[in-house]
Amino acid sequence: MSCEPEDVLSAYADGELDPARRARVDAHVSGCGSCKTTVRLFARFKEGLRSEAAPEMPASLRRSLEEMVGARDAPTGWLDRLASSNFVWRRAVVAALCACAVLAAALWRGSVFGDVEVPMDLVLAAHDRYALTMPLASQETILARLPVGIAAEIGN
Amino acid sequence: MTTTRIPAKAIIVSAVIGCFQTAWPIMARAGERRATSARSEAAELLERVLAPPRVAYSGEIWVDRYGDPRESGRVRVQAAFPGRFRREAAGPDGKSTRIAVTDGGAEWLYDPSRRRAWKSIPASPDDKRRGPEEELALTMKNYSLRVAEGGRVAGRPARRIDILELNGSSPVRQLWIDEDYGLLLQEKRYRPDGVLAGWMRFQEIKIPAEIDPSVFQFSPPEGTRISTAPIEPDYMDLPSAQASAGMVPRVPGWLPPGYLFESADVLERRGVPILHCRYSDGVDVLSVFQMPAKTRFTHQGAPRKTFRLGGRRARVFLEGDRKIVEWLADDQRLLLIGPLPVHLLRRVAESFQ
Repeated sequence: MSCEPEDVLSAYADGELDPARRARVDAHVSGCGSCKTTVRLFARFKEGLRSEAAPEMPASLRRSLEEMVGARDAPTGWLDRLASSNFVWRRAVVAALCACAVLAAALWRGSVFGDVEVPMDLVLAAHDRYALTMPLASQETILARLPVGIAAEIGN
Repeated sequence: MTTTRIPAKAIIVSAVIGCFQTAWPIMARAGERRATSARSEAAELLERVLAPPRVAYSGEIWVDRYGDPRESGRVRVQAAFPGRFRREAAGPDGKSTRIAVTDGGAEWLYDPSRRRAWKSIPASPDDKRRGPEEELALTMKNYSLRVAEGGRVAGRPARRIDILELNGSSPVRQLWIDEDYGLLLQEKRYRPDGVLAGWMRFQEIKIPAEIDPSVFQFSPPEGTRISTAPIEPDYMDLPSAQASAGMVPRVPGWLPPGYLFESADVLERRGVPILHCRYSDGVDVLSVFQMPAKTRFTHQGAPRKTFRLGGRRARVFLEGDRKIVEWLADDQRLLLIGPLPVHLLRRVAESFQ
């Protein structure tokens, strides 16, 4: 009786043969010392692989792979980037935008710090405009000064 | 028969007294007539210069203000009856820095550097609560007038009116008035201490038969932003001003002699009302601005002086011939503006407490 080829014995050791072939190889191995030793070696090798810890992937390789995946799937717009970022980061950005909007509204209303700026030019122009109605007012003298229309727009 | 001898000395004294008693009423009446005549002449001249000129004129005026800082400038003027004018303030390079034009209706103000034009209704003395005649009467009540020869100004014959404080001899204003047309040719304004505060005079003047009407039309250059002047003048009484501003007007407990309340106006700054009360003595104006304390008064430069007012610091600023006192009272910020000396402005400010 001829011995079984090694690939068949390897498949036998892995339990990958169909039942009929397995029964025939089983009958041969039980009476053949050489094939029994070969099967035992295959089995022991498989056991050794299983008990061995999986090797750690080098960090540089991991980074390269992540960059490659990231570049392929990277969002193009800022909204896409915001949507694809993690939850905490997303919340921080939204909160900052809201704060900016509130600050801009406060500045627009002049209510930030509770102060509205009243420029000296505005009150002087209002004073001068009234002074022009006095009998002895000199129109030419006051023309060179800032009129209310302009003063009111300064810083407004 | 006895005769009483009257000493010659007594006869002479009696004669002198008799002559004096007879002559005094005549002399006094003549003096009164002269004084009345002088006052009438001054008043007549003053009324003449205040009336709108009936002739067209054009020329160049030089303006000096000796305040801090000193300001000077040229204004080119063209004017025609009724109420039409074109005034162009020019910078040192001769280019127009501001142009005011009216054809008797709306008034245009153009700022070439900003390429901005404002169309507005000019502040008319007729709209005031105290009309021009009452204002002039107040001037005559608070000041005395003196007429003098004015020589020639810009080649024109002039009469001079000095407007003096009632109990003083130094003028607060001197006006040179064209003898033929009643135009104001020159004006000098003085501070209360007698120092010259401002000087306006025609350097050249022409009286043409007419001026091309297109001069008084304003055509905004291309690219000019045009807007209606945001603040029209108003002349409210105190209750109306209170309703409009939403704040009770603060009235000073003391004003310099001759000053009276005339009217109020309400400005607005970013939704914040600013109440403006105006007082005058017929010549000068005193303004009181009242606004919420939560405002920030911005100015160029540091205050020239500070003093304590109601436990807080009041600040004094100088701006040309005008002085500004700023302080906080309760929940409001107050500004007092006028040409008066600082010690008088301070007294007015203290009377608000």
